[in-house]
Amino acid sequence: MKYDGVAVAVPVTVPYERFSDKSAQWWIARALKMLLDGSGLGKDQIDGLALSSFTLTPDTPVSVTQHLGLSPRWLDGIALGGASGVVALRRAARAVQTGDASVVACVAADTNRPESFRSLVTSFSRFAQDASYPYGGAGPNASFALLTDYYMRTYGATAEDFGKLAVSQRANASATPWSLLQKPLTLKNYLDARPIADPLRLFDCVMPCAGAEAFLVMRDDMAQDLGIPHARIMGTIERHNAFSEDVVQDKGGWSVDAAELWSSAGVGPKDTDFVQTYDDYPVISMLQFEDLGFCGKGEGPDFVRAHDFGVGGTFPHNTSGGQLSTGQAGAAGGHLGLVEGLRQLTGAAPNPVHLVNGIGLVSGFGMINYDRGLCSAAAILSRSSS
Amino acid sequence: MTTLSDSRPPHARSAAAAGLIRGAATGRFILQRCQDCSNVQYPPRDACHNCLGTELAWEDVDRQGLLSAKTTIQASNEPYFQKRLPWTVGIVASAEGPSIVAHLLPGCVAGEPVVMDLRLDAAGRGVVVAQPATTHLGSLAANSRPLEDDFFQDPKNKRLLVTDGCSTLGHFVIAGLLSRGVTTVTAGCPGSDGICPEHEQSDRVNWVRVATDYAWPSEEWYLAAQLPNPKGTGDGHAFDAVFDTTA
Repeated sequence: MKYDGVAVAVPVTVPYERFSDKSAQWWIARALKMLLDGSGLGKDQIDGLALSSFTLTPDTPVSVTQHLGLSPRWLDGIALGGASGVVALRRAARAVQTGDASVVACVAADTNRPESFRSLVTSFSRFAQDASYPYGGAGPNASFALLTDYYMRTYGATAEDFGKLAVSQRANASATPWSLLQKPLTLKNYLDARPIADPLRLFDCVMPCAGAEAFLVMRDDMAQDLGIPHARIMGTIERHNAFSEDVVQDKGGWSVDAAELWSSAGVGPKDTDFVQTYDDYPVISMLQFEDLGFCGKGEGPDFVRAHDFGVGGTFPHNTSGGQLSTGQAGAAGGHLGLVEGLRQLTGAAPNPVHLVNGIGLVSGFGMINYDRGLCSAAAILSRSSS
Repeated sequence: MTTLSDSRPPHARSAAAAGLIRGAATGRFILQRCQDCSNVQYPPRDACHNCLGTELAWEDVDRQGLLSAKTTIQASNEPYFQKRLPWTVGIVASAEGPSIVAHLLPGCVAGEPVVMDLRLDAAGRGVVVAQPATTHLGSLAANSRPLEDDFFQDPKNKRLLVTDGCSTLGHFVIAGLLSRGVTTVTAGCPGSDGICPEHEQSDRVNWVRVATDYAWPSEEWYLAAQLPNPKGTGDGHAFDAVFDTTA
C-alpha cells in the first residue's frame, strides 16, 4: 500500500553536546519546541508521538506526555536504536493515513554523561550481558571489530577503503554547523590514529554524545495549508533478526527486502540523488551499499574505490557528516540520516546535494543484541513536487 | 556498594547462564540442548529458538570450532580489562552450529580450528575460552592477554569458595568439584538455621554462614561469612577461585 496523503516535514536537530548534564526529557522538550516553531503548530495540535530514547529511565514514553503536557491520541515507543527513525516514519505514516492521528511528532533524544555510555553497554541486553560484554568489556567497538575483521578477510576490503568513507564524511561535516567533529581528517590521520579494537582505529568508531533529532509526519493537506516544505514516502522496509544462521554478520536484513523496497517505490538504485546510511562504523555502510542493491555482495570495496561521496560527487553519501562526524546521540543516531535526508528534500540542508530526480534513500541499522545488529530498515523519499 | 571492578570483569548474568558455571566446575563443555528437537543453542535462553520448546538441558557437546573472526581489544570500558590490555576475543563457528564469542588464548588464528572450554573467570562466572586446535609457532603476540592464568581450570589442590552451596547451582558445582578430586571446598549457606540437610553429604565441605542481604564480593559479605576479606586484608589469594552460585 502506498503512502498517499502523507507528508513528512520539519526536520530538526538540537545541536549536539559531547557530554550533557541535562536529561533526555530536556532534549525531547527542545526538539518538540523546534518542531512547533518550524511548523507553526500549537502543542495541542500534536496528536501523535513516536519516541525513541535509551536514557529516559525510569520514565517511559507515556511519562513524557505528562512531563511535557502533551495529550496525544496515538503514542508509540520505538526501542530499535539505529533503525528507530525509519520505523517511526513507517508507523507514523500509517497512523496518519488511517486517521488515527493527524500530526505525529517523531522524536529521538538521548543525553550523555561520562559514565552513561558504560552503563548502557553493560546492561544493553541479556545476551550482551551474558555472552559478549564480559569478553573484553568493549561493547559495540568489539562487535564491529569482529564484523570488520571477517568482512576484510572475506571480501578483500582494506583499511584505506574504510578510511575513504570516514574522510569524505568529515569533509561533509565541515559544512554542518552542529557536527561535533569539524577538524579536517586526512587518510593519513585516519591510518595513523590509535588502535581501538583491531582492525578498528579511532576514526572508525562513533563518538557517543547528547542530542536530539525530530521530524513531523502529517496529513498532506495540513502541510500544504501550513505552507511548509515537505517530502513524500515512496517505499519503506524493516526486518529484524534476519540471517541468524550466518556465522558472522556480513549482510543485514535489507537484502531480504531490498527488491520489495525498490519495486514498491517504482524506482531503482540509480535514480537516487543521495544515500544516508547508518554509519556508526564504516563497515556497516559498506554492507548497506551491497544489501540495498547499489552494488553486489562483496563488491562494497570496489564500489567505495569507484565513487566520490561528497555532495558534488558521483554518490553523495551521509551529507551532514553522518554519525562518524556529528556524533551518536543514542537513539537520535537512528534518526540522524532521515532528518538529513528530509533537509535535502525540503531545501534546508546546509550542505546541499544537487537534486536531479528529487529522490533519496535513508537506511537504519540497530541493536547489537549479542554478536550482530538485529534491526534493519530503509525508506525511499522524494521531494513533494516529484 | 563496594565494587571490585578493577579486580574482576563484568559479573551480572541471567539465571540461564548458570550452566556455564556448572561446566567450569565439572570441566565439561556443556551447552543447552533442546529436549524436543535436539537443537544446540548459545547464548543461553529460556526457550529453544528453533522449536520454542522449553525443556532445555545442559549436555556435553563438541568442543571444536573454526575461528571466524578475531579482534585484539586495545580500549575497554571496564577497569579489569583496562589493566590487562590488549585482550583478544573472537567469534567461533562451533561444530554444533551456534556462533560463540570466546576469549582467545595465545596462538589462535582466524580461519583455523580451535577447541573450546568452559572456565571460571575472575568474576566467578563461567566463560568460553578457545585455544588453537594445533599449535602455531610464531603466532604468539607479545604481552597479549588473556593467558591460561587469567582463568581457573584445574581445581586440584586449590582453595575454592562456592558462594551459595545450598542453591541448585551450588549443589551441582560442589558435586562437580568433589568428583574431580578436590579435597575441600568452602561453601556459603544462606539458610537462617544454618543447617541444610545436604550439609551432611561430605566432610570435604567447609560450610560458612553467609548473609543474604549482601552480595559477593562485597566487604560485608566476607565479614558476615567470617572469611578473610581479600580487599581489607590485602590478601587477594584467600581463595584461588570463587564460584559465584548465588541466584
